[in-house]
Amino acid sequence: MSGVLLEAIGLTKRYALPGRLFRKGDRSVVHAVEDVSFQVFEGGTLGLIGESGCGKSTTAKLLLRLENVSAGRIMFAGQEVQNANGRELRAYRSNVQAVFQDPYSSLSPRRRVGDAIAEPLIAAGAMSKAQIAARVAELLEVVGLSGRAATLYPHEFSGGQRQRIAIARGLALQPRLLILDEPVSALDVSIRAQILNLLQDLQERFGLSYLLISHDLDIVAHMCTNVVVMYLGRVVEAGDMSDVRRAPQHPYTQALFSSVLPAHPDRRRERIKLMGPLPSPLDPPSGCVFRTRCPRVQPICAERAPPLIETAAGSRAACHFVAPAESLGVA
Amino acid sequence: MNEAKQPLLEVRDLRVRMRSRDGSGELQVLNGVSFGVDRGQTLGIVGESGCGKSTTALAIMQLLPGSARVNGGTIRFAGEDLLAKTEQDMSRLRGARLSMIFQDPMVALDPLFTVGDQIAEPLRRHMRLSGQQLRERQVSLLQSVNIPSPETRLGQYPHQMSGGMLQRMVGAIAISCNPELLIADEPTTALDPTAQAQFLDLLARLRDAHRLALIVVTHDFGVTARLCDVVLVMYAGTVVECGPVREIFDNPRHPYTQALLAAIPQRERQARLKTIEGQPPDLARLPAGCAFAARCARAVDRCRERAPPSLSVGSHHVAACWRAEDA
Amino acid sequence: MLTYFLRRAARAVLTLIGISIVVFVIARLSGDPSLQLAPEDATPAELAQIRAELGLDKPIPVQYLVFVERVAHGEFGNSIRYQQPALPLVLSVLPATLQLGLSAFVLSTVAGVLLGVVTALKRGSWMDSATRGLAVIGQAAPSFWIGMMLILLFSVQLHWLPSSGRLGLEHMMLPTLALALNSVAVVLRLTRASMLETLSSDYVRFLRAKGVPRRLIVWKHALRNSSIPVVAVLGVQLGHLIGGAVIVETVFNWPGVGRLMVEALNARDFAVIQAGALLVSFFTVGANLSVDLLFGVIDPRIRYE
Repeated sequence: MSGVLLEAIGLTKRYALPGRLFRKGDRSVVHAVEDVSFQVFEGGTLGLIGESGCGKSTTAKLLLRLENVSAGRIMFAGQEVQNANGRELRAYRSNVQAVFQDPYSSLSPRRRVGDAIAEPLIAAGAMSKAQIAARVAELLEVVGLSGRAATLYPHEFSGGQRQRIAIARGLALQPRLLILDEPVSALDVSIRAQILNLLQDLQERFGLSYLLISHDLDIVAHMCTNVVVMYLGRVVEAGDMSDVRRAPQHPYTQALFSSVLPAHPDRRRERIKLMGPLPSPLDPPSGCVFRTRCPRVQPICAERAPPLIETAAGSRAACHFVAPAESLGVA
Repeated sequence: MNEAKQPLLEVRDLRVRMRSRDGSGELQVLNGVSFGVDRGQTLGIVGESGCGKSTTALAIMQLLPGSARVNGGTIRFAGEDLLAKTEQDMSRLRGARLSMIFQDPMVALDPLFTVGDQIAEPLRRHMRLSGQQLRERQVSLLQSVNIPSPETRLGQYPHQMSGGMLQRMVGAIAISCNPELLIADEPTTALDPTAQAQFLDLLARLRDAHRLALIVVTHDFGVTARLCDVVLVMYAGTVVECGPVREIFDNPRHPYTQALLAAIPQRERQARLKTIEGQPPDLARLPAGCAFAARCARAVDRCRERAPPSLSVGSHHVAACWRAEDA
Repeated sequence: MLTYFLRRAARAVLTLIGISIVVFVIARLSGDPSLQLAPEDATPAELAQIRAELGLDKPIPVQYLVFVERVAHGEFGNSIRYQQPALPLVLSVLPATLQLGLSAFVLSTVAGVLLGVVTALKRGSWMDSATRGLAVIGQAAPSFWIGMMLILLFSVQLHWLPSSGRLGLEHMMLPTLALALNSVAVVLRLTRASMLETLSSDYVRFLRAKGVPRRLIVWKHALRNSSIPVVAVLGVQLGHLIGGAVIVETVFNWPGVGRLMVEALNARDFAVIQAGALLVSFFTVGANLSVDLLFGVIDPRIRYE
């Protein structure tokens, strides 16, 4: 069992919206991320899944320290980093890098590719110009591009090639964790396969850990060892990928997996239909936030928010009606 | 009198040229595309970016951008030649007999006008509805696509709704005047998984209720598995394979189709996905022979010399490959 | 909608206060008027007395508060040059400036928008190229040059129109044209660009797919959408046309606020400077506020923010 590289404990992020001019007390609060906890294991891939507005992108921003947490802790290799500053923050940042979704906007069109990849190295200030140039060439080769690419501009490359460049940039500081936010959604199917294979190769070669954020459940099932399911800023289910996929416990996870399109015309799946629209994050439902759309809703769901508990099936789920794991001792 | 049953839509040898993005010349983006669709039938057009699938859809509707022009082939709809029609004639047909919906619902509607106003536009134009009758039809349309409190929604603006709801509304608008043909260009690509599944179910329901001829343009084989009877696979502006959906999934004959299907992540965690080496070809410099030869594991000299025609490989199943028989 | 308006109005008031402070401070920094009023051989004591009379011996913040209090009562003090109350003086020449400015505004808006729409629809035609060429000249040429060229052509050569003064309708034509030309060019180019962008947007494509006739697409949907950036610019243009008519008023000897302000600045006539600047600012801020309100009417997304 490999060690825990990154741990999120009770991450919470609330945004306060500006109040209205004549009603000072009426400040609205968006609960973007609420009490989210998970672990990324060394050498493993954690999948963060959920639909628009579930808070997965905000969680990524918190982990990258692009935003500060409202509450909660981030532990990296045993150190608390959510409040780190200066040298500690720089050290953390060199260990945790990101690759984003859109290969067309994540690279500055005015910068040569070589400069874009060198940027984090220059910012770190530890290498000479010659060393940096050598490293850039090395990184390009690692991601399957020729060293000549360094002198070209992003627009001279295809989407898949640009994403390779973004990955090279992400690897520049030799991070231990790469956060991949929808890394292949904008790419064609055949190119997706190339990039996913590359990511797997890099993981094996450099012992990387990944946090993969995606709404494409097939890709998540293919790549991830563990998974966290988010809804309206909260974790509703978490566990091993194989457990969760085989037997999802939370009604939302069940609905999500049931909506995956069939791989063959003869394989039809009975889709679990969710009732009603997504509630506003400004005014989340009381108790269990999923209750307004849940097919199994009961009165208790409005009264008490269900805690995330170990289920008999192996994963952790936040629902009043899952079968809990047998506890040893106190009932 | 011609007794042979003609399909509702018949596309023959369609060719389209387009000015290249940097203005340096023209590209042949469609190179002889042929197919037919009938009422009650669903055709899926599958391919990756640049293959010409969206161009085909836009050509049928005569909505090609100004930089593109049709330079060959015919498009017949209910026996009439669409390419011969004026813009005015087409605008009377669009929305009334043939309809199209696009990928991103968030930008499909004019943000400055209410949703109700925009639903009413084709109803006023094609069905001459007004007043109470118009209102009733608007409400019933929204109900038919499962939008709650339709009366309130009519007075709202697009930015007040979610992507899934907007796309359902777009679907309602598209079938509001009972068209015979509906083209959906990547209708679920911009939606979340649950909204996607919901919309595809809706599309299937509308198709059955109105006996539509449905064309779904997509890069996602899951969508074709869910909805389509016939699948057309495109590459670099040509049809490389066409056949019944089960045939395509169980017995793909063109190397490109086989490679695409193999590149889809399966549910199980696997070692590696099978990829297609190389990049799609530059349309400005298409090779003399088969456009896929450069990336094909089975290519031989013949493939590089002459582009293969569509050869029959089964019942209603064709593939443009010299070696399709040796699959 | 009401909150939106109130917020914008509050911001406008704050802007005016800020302007008044700036005007006040700059006028004071530009020099000491007591030197202008006193005879050449005045003693320091006599200078001090003049200053005291003008209230210039008190500390600046106090002078400002006194100024604000007086402004609230409409008192700007007396013009040093004309020995009359400043505000009525400025108000007396204001109609001339407003007449010129508003006429130029209406002309530039109507002509600019119409030409912008037409050139967008007929993109690539000779008419499009010619109009855009003229627009570039219109925007680049300084207004005094345009004014003088117009005078040369229409007054001196052709004797069609008078070159100065403000007597009848024919006197207004050349100055209005000179003032408006720059603005027409700006509005035209922006309308055209905005229109072209709108016409290639996804919702226009869907409108066509619905079978909506072309005239509705252009005049109902596209025009309204393209007008958003244009309205923003129109607000700025209105401010320019009212407050910035100084040069045109000088070239054509038009008796407006601009000309008065130039004289007042040369003479360090505080009272007139302040009255003029505040009044013009008032109209400019008012114009911008109206534009903001217009946004709320045109675009529902802004209304609901």
